[in-house]
Amino acid sequence: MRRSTTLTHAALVAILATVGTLAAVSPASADAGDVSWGVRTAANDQGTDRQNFGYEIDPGAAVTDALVVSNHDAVPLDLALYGADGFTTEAGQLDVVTQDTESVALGAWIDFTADSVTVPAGESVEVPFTVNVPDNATPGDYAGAVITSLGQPSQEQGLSVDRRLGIRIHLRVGGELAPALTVADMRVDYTGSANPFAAGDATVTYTLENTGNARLTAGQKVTVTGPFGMLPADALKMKAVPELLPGESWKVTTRIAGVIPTFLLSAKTVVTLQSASSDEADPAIAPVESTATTWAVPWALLVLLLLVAAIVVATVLIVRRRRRNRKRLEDARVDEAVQRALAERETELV
Amino acid sequence: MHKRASVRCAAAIISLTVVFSGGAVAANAADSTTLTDIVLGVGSDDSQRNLAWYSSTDTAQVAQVSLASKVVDGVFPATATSFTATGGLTTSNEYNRFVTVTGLKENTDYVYRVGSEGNWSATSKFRTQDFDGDFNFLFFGDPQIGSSGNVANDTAGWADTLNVATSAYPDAEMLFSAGDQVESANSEPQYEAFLSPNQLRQIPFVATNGNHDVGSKAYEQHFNTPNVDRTAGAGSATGSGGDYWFIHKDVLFMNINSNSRDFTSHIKWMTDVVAAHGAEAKWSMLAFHHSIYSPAVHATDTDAVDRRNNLPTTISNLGIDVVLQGHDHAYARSYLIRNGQKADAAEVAGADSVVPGPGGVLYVTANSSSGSKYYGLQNKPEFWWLSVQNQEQVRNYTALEVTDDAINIKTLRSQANGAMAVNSLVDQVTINKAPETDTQELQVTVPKADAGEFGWSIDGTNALVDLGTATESGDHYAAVGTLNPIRVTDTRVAGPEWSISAQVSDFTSGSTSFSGKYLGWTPTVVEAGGGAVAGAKVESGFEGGNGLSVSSTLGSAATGHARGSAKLGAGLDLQIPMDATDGTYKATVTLTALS
Repeated sequence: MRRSTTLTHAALVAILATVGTLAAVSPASADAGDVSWGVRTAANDQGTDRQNFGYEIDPGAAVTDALVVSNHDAVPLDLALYGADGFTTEAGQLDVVTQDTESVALGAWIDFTADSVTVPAGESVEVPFTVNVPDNATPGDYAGAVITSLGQPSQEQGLSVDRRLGIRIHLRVGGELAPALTVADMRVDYTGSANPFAAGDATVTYTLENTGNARLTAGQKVTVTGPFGMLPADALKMKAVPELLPGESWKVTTRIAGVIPTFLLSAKTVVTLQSASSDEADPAIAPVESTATTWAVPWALLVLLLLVAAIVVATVLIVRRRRRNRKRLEDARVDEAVQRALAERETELV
Repeated sequence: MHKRASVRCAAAIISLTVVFSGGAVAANAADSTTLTDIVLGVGSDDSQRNLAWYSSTDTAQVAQVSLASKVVDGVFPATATSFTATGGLTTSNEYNRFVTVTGLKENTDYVYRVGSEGNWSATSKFRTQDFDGDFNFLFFGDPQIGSSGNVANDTAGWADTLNVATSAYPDAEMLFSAGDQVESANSEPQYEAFLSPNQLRQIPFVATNGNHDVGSKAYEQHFNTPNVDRTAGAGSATGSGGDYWFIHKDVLFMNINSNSRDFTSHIKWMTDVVAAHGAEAKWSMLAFHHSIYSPAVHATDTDAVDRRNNLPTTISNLGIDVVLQGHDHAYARSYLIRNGQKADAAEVAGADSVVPGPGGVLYVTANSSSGSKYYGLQNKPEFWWLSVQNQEQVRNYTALEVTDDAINIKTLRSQANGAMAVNSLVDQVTINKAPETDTQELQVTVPKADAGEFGWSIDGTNALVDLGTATESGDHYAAVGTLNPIRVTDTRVAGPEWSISAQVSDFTSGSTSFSGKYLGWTPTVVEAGGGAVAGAKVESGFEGGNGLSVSSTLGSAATGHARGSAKLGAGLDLQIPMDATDGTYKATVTLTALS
């Protein structure tokens, strides 16, 4: 074991040393140091002054557009170009798959005329690309990005960094739009307090799944109640649901403090769907509801009540026993007195 | 102690007095007519106000108006002037009442109440200001109470916007609506909610007839508008209609019922009104609901196209300066437009000062004032008219400040959006009167930046990570270091969101590997700017969790962030189990910045 750890240590040192040596080799510019470049949407038939790219394309159709890449450095810049599929991160931001992961949807439908571009020092280059939607593409919303990536020499070891700057693309493939969302795996857990008179916490968890084909956001309200809707308490300050792409899910955990243990506890969530896309003409979507229940037994209070009951019973028993003892002693005393009196009378008679 | 008690006693008596005077209506059982939906409107000119209200029974009623200075101890003055109300049966089987209050003086506070002897409404106040000179008024987009499905929410948003706007502009002389006051034209509960804020009884309200107002007569039964011509932009047997005009402080306001696409009648009416009153006005403004130069979903509706094909030339020819519109639930400000075309090819997007030549008209489309509904921007290339567009899904209002020489139009958020506080600026533009031909004026236009770019400065070498030397730390090996800071610059005008995410691959060495989850980080904003916010800390997955093996946020900025630049960095934390197979490992961190 000792030997193994020593080796790991050595290996780690090797990683770091390699990083250090590679620092001397600059892949992008003669000067080691910062590289500055920027991207923006091109002004053309698709639009001017756009925030990012957005298209509505029918299956089998294509759109040609361009991004503008600007090199703010004094040396030419080589950048790789490609499209990548988008996904929502656990932090709720849009990211696109890394180069190791093959794009299967929007990312795969983006074609650049060349795999890379050389941007002269201090200049901008307009880079055209085409989005080709296959004939068999499923209608609905897709997200991805066009990526410019700073090339790097292949490395044998070390912690290398793939630097990618891109512009997101929102694509709606024509056809019937069917927004849908489900609430799955809903549960509620109750944690009581050791203080018999204090309320406890309810933790409600569930997973929102975008089961439709439109990207969505949602408003949500979580309420816990006792039996027959008694003592309702709402979850406050719930974290917002980010935009979910079709097929994505989002775990929600919320804690509601100050919940009184009413033996049976019900949690209900009402999720109000909102279309995240720019087109308001989506079909209206009814709110989605889900419920879960759990036991919320006021153990501390019950224990206290049991203790009180035990003390009461014990007290009663003790009092009764004392009363019985006192009566027995009194009876004995009276008996004795009678006996003594009778004995004295007999003595007088003699 | 004794003194304190007597003070409290006096306080109680005062409050009781108030209760009794307010409760007098209920106490009088002789007349149980309820008086609701009182709304103060503009009159034909500054010396007039129009009142409208609903009554549960058809009794003879008046509006009583008095100088506020004559109110003594809260008692409504006996010397008040009475104005006889007219009206009749409404479509909701109540009775409406209209009154025009005339003969008002400048700079005077008035009180008024409506009803009949023994059954008066609560007393409201209004104030007149100078009858000429500078003024400001507030413009609101589609309140459309009920359109979200939640009347209470919509009402709260509407009331809050009114509170924010009238607090920021306490001298506002009108509350101007772009139409669609309610979701359902015949819904009395929605009208009651819409009219519930007290400002509607204190500052004259200018109603515009929207597509959600036209399905019933309720609009024209609720709003007492001056100089109505119901033959122009006519309504139907069951729907409201009519065009109307008024003059406020030397500005001619025309309001047309754009539900009617009988352009011949609108054009003749506008032409007649300008011919008769244009000379009295230093500026003229037109309002109608269906925006013809809007940024969102309704811009491409066939009826919008029809209006866009038929109205602009007349609007230019009549010398109208500003057109106020709604319907598209997103903010837009047009370039100056003459006869349906960009008036000045050189006008830059978002210019904060414009000088219209003859026929140059500025069109403003208001976003939602209540938050009941928003439409997303369409960003279509054929929308050549958009100088500025904005949709952040927060409530807006627009303040128009009118002077002899300029009209300043400011659109403000009445609801915070992240770092953008209440009353922060969405857009502003000043329309300046063209200089007289025989004078020489200096003018400079400061253009807004061009389309803008999202870019970064990042270490071009592979020396991005310096973890120092790993050390044995209890049950694992630990290494810490810092990510070389990345400068992010976003000069895009609208401030759309961006984020930088990172994901680390597995560490591999030949055929062995350990998971990238063992790398964690603590993102920081090294140099603040441009609304950049650091991502959440991600713990090394050594104790549990996924670490950086799943995409994590280094930093981001929300929609509407300021333009600018920020420097983002991160502390790195690698914790490797001691039983990892020995070898020399490599991994890739993918840093992705998306605009």
